[in-house]
Amino acid sequence: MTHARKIVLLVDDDREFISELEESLALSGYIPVTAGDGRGALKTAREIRPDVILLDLRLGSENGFAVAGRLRKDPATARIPVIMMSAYFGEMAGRGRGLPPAVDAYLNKPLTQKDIVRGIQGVLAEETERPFDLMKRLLIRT
Amino acid sequence: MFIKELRALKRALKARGAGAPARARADAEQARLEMEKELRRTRDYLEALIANANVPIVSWDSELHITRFNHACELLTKYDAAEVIGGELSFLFPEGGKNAVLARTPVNSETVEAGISLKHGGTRMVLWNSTGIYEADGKTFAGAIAQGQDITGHRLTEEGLKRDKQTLEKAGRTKALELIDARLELEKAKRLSDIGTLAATVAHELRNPLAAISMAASNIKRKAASPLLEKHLQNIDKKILESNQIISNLLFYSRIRMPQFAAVDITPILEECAVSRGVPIQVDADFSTSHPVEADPVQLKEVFSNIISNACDAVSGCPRGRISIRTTECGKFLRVRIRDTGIGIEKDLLPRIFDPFFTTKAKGTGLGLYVCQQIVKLHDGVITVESEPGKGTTFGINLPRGSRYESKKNTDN
Repeated sequence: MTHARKIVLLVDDDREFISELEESLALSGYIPVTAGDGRGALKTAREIRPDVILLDLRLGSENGFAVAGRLRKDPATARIPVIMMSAYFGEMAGRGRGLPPAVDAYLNKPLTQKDIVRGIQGVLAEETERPFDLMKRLLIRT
Repeated sequence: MFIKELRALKRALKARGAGAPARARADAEQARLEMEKELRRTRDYLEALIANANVPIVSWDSELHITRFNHACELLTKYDAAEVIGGELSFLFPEGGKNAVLARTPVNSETVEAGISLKHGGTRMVLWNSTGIYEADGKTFAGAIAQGQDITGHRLTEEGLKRDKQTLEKAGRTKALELIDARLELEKAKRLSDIGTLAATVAHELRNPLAAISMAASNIKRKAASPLLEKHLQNIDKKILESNQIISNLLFYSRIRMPQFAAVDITPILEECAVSRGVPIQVDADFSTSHPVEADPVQLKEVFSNIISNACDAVSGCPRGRISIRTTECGKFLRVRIRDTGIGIEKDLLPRIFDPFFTTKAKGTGLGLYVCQQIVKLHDGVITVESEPGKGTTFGINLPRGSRYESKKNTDN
């Protein structure tokens, strides 16, 4: 695992929330980049290749899941872990189910700084394990 | 010829002189006997007619003494004619008013309903048709005769019909009321589903600004760590938690649904609810022993956080307020007891605390305990409350232990 500061793309149409979140992540040692809608998110993701994307489920008229799906389809962004944020996950979260495949983790609003950091660390830890899995599979095959 | 005529005259004279009166007397006697015979025949005919008539016939004299009481009357009342004849009319018709009407006896025929006494108690309702009998002068009352028709059966039928009618009316009314109730229920359900939809939308929308507020508070804390600000930030955190709880209750209320059962340990859930309070209230509890139970963890969290939140409110004004949480296993149940030494609940309010929208708090929605009770019920558990104003409140939550599958299988057998 590298010790370089991770780039986090924040996508939410709530300006105040994103501004507070940006500040919070910066204080926690991340490099936050923001986008206010789905199109901006796709464009920024392709350009800067963030380490992780924090995506709100409701982006004005857009659906966060659709944006996540498009991120997955684009080879440039397909491997970036996506964390979905929403107030709608409340009950699903407690039962550990109902997570769409395009999303790696989800966070329930209202959330604390600790929740966010824990969430980011969680998906990044999984990410570092992935190459090992790939190697294991290759080894087994040969 | 002359001689013949003379003889006839002589005979006639003779007859006129001595034989005629005797003959006339004999003729009169004959006529009287004939008349008596005729009268007797008529009387016997009438007597037989009255005696054997299949309708009750009774007659009385001017003194209102019974003079005739036919066989039909005997059958009707079970009295013997001998017991009745010569007696007062009131013996048969004890009803003051009706008796008077009957005894007043009309000039012409009159119809009156009067109950006749039965030998073995009770009365039969009879429709009487009575006629006055007068002396030769046509004015002096000599008595009366009344012919009756037993209408008790009709009466009963009538009353039965009346009763049936009333019953039907009542049933109709009940049906109508039921319909009204059903409609009200439907409207209420519709209103609740409208409220539910609205609540869900509003609740979700409110969680976004709450997230921003929470994040802002945490940023203030990190950027300007100051004991002067600490208290305010704590209050903000507490209010965010409270608001989120209200949102959860509204969401839960808008769609109370079946629990998703899973094997869970109740202790960490209790611990999480106890420590996530925004205020430093001493919570006396043992979180080291694990208590497994089959339950919906999200719903249980809802229950405990609501009750602990209420307990925090109850002790917030009390200087040495304490909250204690105890979990014990009693038989088939796991019993969680959450006790506070707060302000308590007035006795007359206790039965209402689980009602939806009932609240004593200025800012409450009145849904917290309602939701708790619904959740516990869905878990086949029981929620109890004891309280003494000024001393505190204890909530008991009994949840069934053991495998739900096993217990279901047992009840199925």
